[in-house]
Amino acid sequence: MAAPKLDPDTSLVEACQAQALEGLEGPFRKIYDLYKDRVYNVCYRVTGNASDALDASQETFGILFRKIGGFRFQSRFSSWIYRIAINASIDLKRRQGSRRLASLEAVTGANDGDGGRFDLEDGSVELPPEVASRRELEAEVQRAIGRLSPKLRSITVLRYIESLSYDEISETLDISLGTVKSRLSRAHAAMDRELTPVLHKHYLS
Amino acid sequence: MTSIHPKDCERYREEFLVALDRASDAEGVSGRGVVHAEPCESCTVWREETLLVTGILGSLDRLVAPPQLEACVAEDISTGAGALQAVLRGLEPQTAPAELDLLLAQELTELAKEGAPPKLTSLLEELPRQKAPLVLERLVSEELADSEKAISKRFVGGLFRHISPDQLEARLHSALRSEGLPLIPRLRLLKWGSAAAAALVVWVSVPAFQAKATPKYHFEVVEVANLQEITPFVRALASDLAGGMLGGMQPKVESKETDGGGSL
Repeated sequence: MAAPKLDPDTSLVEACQAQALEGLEGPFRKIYDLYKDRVYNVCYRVTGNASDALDASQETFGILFRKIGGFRFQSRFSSWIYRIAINASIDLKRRQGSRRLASLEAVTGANDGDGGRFDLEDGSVELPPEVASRRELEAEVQRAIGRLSPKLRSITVLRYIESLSYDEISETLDISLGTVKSRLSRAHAAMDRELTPVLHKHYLS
Repeated sequence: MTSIHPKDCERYREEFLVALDRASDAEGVSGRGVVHAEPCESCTVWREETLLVTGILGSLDRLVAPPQLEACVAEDISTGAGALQAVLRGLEPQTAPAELDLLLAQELTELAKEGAPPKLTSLLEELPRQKAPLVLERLVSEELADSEKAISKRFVGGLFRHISPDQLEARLHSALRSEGLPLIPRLRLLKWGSAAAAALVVWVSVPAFQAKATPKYHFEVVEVANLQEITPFVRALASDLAGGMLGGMQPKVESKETDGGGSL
């Protein structure tokens, strides 16, 4: 049996395991409050829209609730949560992709969910040019992330949005450090290709 | 000038990314000390774009979980609906077997063949043709003569028929009770009274159905050609029986072309 690592969430997890959990109360409530924003961010960046992010986040905490009793600290608790969130988000997109017919949005690449659901975008509101430009840039970045493969998307979100270290990414995705490096390199190359027109438009013109 | 091998660029970029990961400030990563410390033109462009992309990604706004997430999570873990959904999602979706395409193609080919009418059509064509009943003409005539009346009759017939509420029986009982007679004797009286009335009707009507050459009447039958020939008393009685229309009644002409029956 592996000795518990220096995990800041050890006491919380053990508190959840020591008693019968009763819904979103007690120690599980603390875990929820601690990780809800992180989980939602990951789910949002991987799924690309608020509605899917909500579904994926709900699923993540549901799985967490049912399986926390069996967690044995073989990885960091945070890595485990991230893994659940990533898998829930990718699975949701995969289920949607297998059911949905090809739509015009998918063909044109405007597949960031539903345009207007990107929280920072609101076409009905007139914004100052610099703010509008920034929001347009963020929307294009999100679309570029959405066009990556699930593996590259996951590693991009974990590394550059959640700022996880290589070790944490390795633990979260259950891959070697070498694989982390090679995937990040490929993710960079893919993002460069996707964002070069954007960079030229917003920075280099 | 040192020639740069493509492998050098690959290593340079990988190690630059590692250095980027370790550095607190991405702008401070120069790449010195790695292979081909002075990057080629291609790697220089790559480095600049990488720093830009990394900066953009790192500066994306961090979102706050929406308030409804809490309610969704609470419901999920309290009802266990999420677990059920997970099981259902684990079911492999079934795809139609390839044989279905073959069977469908065969079916469509047979249907498209000339001279092979579908069985259903031939059965329909062989059904006997129905003829309109004679009464239809009368009904249609009545409809056309007074369409509003016909519509109102159909409307009434289509109204929802209500079931008497339970309170009706209770009120009936209380009303009968309030007349001073006990309920059971009243019901018995009602029952015997109904039986007596029925017997009287039968007793009166039976002789009328008996076929006799000379029926015996308990009253006198007088045939008159003119209403003025009967006594006023009898005329008044006959008028009452006719609903006060004795004087205005006209003989009806029955249609010879229908099965009879007059208007209501």
